[in-house]
Amino acid sequence: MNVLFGHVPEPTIAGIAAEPSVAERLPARYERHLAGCDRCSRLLQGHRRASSLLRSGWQMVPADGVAGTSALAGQPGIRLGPAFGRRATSRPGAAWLALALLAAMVLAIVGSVVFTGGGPPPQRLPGRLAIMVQGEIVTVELDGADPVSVTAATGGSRRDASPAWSPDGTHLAFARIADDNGNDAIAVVGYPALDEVRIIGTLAGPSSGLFWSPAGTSIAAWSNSGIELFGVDGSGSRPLRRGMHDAYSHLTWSPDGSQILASTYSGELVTVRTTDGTVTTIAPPDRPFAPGGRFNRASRDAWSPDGGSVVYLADLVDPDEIDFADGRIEVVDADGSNRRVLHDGQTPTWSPDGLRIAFDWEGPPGGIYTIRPDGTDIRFVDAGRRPSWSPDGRFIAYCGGTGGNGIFVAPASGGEPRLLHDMACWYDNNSYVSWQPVRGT
Amino acid sequence: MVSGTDVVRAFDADYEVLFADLSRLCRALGAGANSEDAAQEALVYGRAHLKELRDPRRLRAWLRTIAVRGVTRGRSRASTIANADFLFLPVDADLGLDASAAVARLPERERQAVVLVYGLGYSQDEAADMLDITRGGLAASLWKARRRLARDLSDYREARR
Repeated sequence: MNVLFGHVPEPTIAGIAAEPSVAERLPARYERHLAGCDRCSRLLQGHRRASSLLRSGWQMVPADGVAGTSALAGQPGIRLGPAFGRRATSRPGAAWLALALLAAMVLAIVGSVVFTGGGPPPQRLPGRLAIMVQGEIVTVELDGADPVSVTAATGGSRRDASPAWSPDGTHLAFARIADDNGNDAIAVVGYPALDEVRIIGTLAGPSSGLFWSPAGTSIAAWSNSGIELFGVDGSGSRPLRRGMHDAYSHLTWSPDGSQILASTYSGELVTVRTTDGTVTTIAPPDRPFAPGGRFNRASRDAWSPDGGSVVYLADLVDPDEIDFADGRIEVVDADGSNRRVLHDGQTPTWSPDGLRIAFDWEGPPGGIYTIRPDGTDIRFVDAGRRPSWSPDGRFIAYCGGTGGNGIFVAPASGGEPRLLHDMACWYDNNSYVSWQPVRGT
Repeated sequence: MVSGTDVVRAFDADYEVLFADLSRLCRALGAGANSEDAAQEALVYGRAHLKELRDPRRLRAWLRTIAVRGVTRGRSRASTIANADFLFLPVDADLGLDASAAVARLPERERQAVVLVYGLGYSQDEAADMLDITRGGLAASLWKARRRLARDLSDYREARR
């Protein structure tokens, strides 16, 4: 028998299960095959059961009375939510595998042509991207392929947040609900083994982002009381600076690890010395609580790679506005001198080579832009918001886009964007992409 | 033609009915104890953004879409399925609760599609609207769900080993 083409197609099997009249019109060769093929008859049995189940009465059922739901969440083989990373437990036969490989090769070739707008295919990045998808941390390839749910693999229950790769790309940190009071624990796990989750500390409050030191020895995070530092090895955790919480700002370590850029609730842009918590204001607010005043907000990856300057958002709207729709991108030297305005926009972030700054702006056209640090040569990338550079600076990941909801990736120099995941970035203002650094990138 | 004022009046007059409809929808989609809050939030948001409703005849469908998105967001971190929660599941006496659990284990998008179409009886067009996906995307989700269920509910997997 021709193994590759002999089986009854699964849509036909499903059709037989859902609608008995389909069986009456079945070609004779399929009838003969179904009578003798163990694989197809078992599949038909499964589809009949699925059909019967879906068409039965629906009821509200206590979760704890249903096997495989909440009571079993986190146990091996049982997961609630998207089945990312579910390596096929049903092993496809060689024939199906061959077909899948053929299809994957065709898709890869077509995809690479589409992604580059017809040019030569890009060199594949060795690293992966960590994203948040409806409460799960998921890592994916640059093209969205091979998704792996870190949450599921580590026994989580769909409430993880703030993924952040270590500087050497060997570990992933993320926030996991610690208790019923809304506090997050900081978890660190080796990648790709994902075999041992270490809780290195607990925040007072929910995480709004985790930020690794350049040496990979500490993680900085906001808690309800201020900035906290956590030793990655579980030792040396300490409050760095209390009383300056700004949940909407990010923390960026200086390249030498001696300072952290942050902003305060009252709109000061500050640097905090990591040895003793000494705070230096480098961009003060202007009438921060008066209409038309200006708040400064620290954004992500805001320090220039040479350590000389920082980019930030000067928010020109009222203090309750959290989307910073009328903000302005500004740059200031790290000592607070030489402040200059670059452009209207928000969420600025410095490219890894220091040559450009990405941000989003209402436009028109609204979307992701890049600009030189001197304010010249502005370029449009794609509709979207919250840009994030790849470690080699060739790509930008962002939320939204011309294709609708989801996380997209586009070449930083312009080109066809590609949807990375359609169920990310729907709700969370803090849902950025974390790119895995790899040696040499 | 329905005017903006008429829509506001219809909205206010039908508040109780809309609230009940949306609460049921949110509960079916797994909002649990937060269902009424999610319904209320959808109504408050809808009332404040009625001007964005381009076709007043689609008020109810529009509110459902808002509620479904709200549930999707809310399930992310604010809540998870807890022992005290109830799940909206198909219950086939012959197959039992273990089989129903297979629906609960479906990926989020597939489960939502299945609940809307099979559980609540919305048309595929309506369900696609609510989930803000194309009709083809919804059909794909339903097909994937059915295929996954078929494998879960048969010994097909063992047969291949």
